[in-house]
Amino acid sequence: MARTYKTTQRSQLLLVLTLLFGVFFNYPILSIFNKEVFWGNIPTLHGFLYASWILLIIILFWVSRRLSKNS
Amino acid sequence: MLVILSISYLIVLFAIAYWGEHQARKGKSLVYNPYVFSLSLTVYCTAWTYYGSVGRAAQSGVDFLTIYIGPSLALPLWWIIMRKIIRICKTRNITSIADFISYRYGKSSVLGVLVTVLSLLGIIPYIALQLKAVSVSFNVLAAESGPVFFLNLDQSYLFEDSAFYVMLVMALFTILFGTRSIEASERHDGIVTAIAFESIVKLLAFLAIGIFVSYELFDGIQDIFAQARARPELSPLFQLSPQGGMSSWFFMSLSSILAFMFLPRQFQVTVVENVDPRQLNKAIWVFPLYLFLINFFVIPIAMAGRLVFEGVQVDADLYVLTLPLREGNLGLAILAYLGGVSAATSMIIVSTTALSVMLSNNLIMPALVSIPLIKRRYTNRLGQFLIYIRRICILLVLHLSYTFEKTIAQDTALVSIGLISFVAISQFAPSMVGGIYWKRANRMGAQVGLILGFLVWFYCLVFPTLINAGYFTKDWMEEGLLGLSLLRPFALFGLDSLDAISHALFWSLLFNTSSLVGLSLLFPTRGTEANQAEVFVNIEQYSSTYEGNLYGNIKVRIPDIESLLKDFLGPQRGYEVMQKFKEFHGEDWLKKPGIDVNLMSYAEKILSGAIGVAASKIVLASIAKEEEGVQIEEVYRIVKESQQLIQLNQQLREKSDALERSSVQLQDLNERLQASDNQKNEFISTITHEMRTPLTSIRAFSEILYDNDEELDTREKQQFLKTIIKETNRMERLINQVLDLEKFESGTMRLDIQNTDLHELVKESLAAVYQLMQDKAIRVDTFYEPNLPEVPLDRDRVLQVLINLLSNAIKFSPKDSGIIRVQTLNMGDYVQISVWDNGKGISPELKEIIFEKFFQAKNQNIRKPKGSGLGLAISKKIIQYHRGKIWVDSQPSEYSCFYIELPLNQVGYN
Repeated sequence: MARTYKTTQRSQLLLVLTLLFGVFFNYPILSIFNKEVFWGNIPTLHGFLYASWILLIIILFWVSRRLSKNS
Repeated sequence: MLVILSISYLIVLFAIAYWGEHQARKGKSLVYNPYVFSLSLTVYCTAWTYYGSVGRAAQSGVDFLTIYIGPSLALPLWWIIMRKIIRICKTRNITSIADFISYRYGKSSVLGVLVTVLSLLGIIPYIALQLKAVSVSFNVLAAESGPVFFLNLDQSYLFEDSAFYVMLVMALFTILFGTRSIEASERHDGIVTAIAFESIVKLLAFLAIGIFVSYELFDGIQDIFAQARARPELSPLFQLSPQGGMSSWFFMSLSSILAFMFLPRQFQVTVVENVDPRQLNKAIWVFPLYLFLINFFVIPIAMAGRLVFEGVQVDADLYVLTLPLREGNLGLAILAYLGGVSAATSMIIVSTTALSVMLSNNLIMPALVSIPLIKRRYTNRLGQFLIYIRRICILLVLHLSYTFEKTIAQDTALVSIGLISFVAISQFAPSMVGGIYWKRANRMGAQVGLILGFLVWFYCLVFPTLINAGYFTKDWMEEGLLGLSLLRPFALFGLDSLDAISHALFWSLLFNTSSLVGLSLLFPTRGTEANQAEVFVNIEQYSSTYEGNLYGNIKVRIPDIESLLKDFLGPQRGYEVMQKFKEFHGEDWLKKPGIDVNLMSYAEKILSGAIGVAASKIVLASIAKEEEGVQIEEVYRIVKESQQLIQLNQQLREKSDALERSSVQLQDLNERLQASDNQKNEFISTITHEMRTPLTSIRAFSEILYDNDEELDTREKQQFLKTIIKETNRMERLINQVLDLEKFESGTMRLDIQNTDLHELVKESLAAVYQLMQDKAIRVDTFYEPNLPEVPLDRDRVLQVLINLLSNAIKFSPKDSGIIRVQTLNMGDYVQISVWDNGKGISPELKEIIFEKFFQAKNQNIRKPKGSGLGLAISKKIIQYHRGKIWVDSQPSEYSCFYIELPLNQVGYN
């Protein structure tokens, strides 16, 4: 059937999402921005962290709507 | 004025908590709102967030963010784990981390004590930290604003004891709103409402300071960074330290993720206070958004503080207060102070509630009730006694925190205590996660793991603090314990490249996890522990939570539902049920919008009583399907709830076996019945009537399967077959009941007597009827006799009796206001179990007759929706065979209470 959902598959997708976020917010990706370089006057590390945090919240917002639809 | 303000803030808090409880009693509880739930999670943000983040940012830049980014990125994982934990806790009535771990590992009381002690050691300093934050901020503000604001009270007196007053008020608050009822599983609507309110106060206050600092003191965030860039001494703040910055980033994230999941206060708001698991859906974006907002201005404030107070000795932890004060903006400073108070008090309230439950249930009560004097005096008043104990625990926890604050905490920075606490809490993660995903995880592994993790944590983090405070010689830091350099607290086994927190987290989790895994693999799991492991890991199979209205998009014809009800319940009962629905909705019921959906859920509830939840959903889905234009997926979606994939062949075989068996048994029964006398004619007609219900549903599903063979995929088929098997089993059970009764009556019954843990049995019976109680929103109070010896009994038989009594109690309890009390008592030679309900009661002349076959009280206007009418008759036989007694006591329209007495000595019996 189309659009069948499975609890286990959903859990695995969510787990992968956490792992991806974890990789994104850690070494070595973080070291790309951990330099004394500035965007405007904002240090790149700070800029990167806050910007990707917002991105993360947007993704979670989308995930949340999917979860509400399904359960 | 500051004092008055603080007091008025706390009065507002009391008022809000009171209002929250009041709303809940009126049935308009705010706690059902997912935003309130999400906000209550932000009890994670304490005074440590409020003051400490700025302090840490001013010293070491962005690394404080791990504490908030960590939980944000782990939210999808949190969603999976917490849903499972919530489900387990709600079905098992678990109310704390300590209960959870001890329950999972075979009810080990050692584990309960261990977790409680570890939580106390980890959290009390953390509470002390909150008290300290409030008193320090109070002092700063008081000193700056001058004596005018003190209404001529002696300053030093208030200075020294502001923490003491905070403690007293918090104790009062927690006692008032946290120990209203004996059932720890009962939620605290007042507390949650107050916490949600406080979370808004602390966020708004912090944002106000941030905007003031960035746009009043400076020309925006860009300007702050531009000025900071010009100062070479601030450049280390712009990036993580190249030495170890990245690894400590990782370890701090890990630790905060684990703390966010397993901190007692988070467990309290996420699990215990949760009313609907679907609230987690919204929380996964609201919570990180909150964290983002409250942290947005931390770095600008920290930088601004460093710029403004260049060369002046000012505690960076207090920039949120000192910056507005320096500009003479007293109003804003007071707002900042109130924000800090709200951050601190919310943490204190929830942590104290959680800890006091743990402390009373796992340490104090077990110890106290083993004292015979107390046991005798309070046997019948255990509930009231427990409330007092819990109140004393609250006072104890707060008092310990206060003492800690006055002694050791005096010269430790805010952040370090918080992180030490996080590492302590992280020790719960292996046993928790292992406990719900790995069946083999066993008690020995969990115990050794926790003890080792705990010792490493103590040695690597607490011990150095004690050395610093002067309790031990400083030499041990440099040379290691007993002069062994491999045992240096900050460089255990020579590992000296990590900072203290990462170092301790690494070693403690390594020891903890490897002990759990290693010992669990080495030693097999036994007995009750194996049962609990199975239930915890596969909780989906052992509970089914009703997840909302599934019929939103389906159109059904009302006559279809009507005829379905008549088919399944018989024409008379079907008619009655429909009449009731019509009466309830008034004359114009057909014109009401959404009436078909209403009727659908109504029918589902009625049918679940008769044929079980899953079956009723499927049967209703089958009539919805026939309607034109309905999305066929919708129907399948209903069918496919929480299914377990089993091989199709196996199911088919099982099904045919089961059918064969039951047909043989039916034949057998038929022969026996034919042989017996005329008296049994009525008996037979009742039995066959009862058998029609499962047969009808078996037929319905077989037809669906037969008619739609092409369209259904394997999984749909399995689901249908599963229900067929279930219904077949139901029939088989009924037949067995009849046969049982026969055996009892002819005296050929044999019991399988074994020494049994009675409480285990009672809990099992409660779990079995959990869903029924949920549907009617019935509250269950349990009073267990502590230290009950094992009782010799036939486990399955007595379980059957208990389930029967509970189902009866549920059946006759009023919806929504129903209360059931189950109590066990040790009477010396025998044990007494009682099941009390506040249902309609039984009139005196019927007290004996109800134990007869197919008894139905004549004045009942509700016919039994389920059950054969044999339950009590069989129960009586079973208890008599145990040489026990069963009787009922009742006050019509007030209560009824069934008592069972079982002898503790069954010697000489088969």
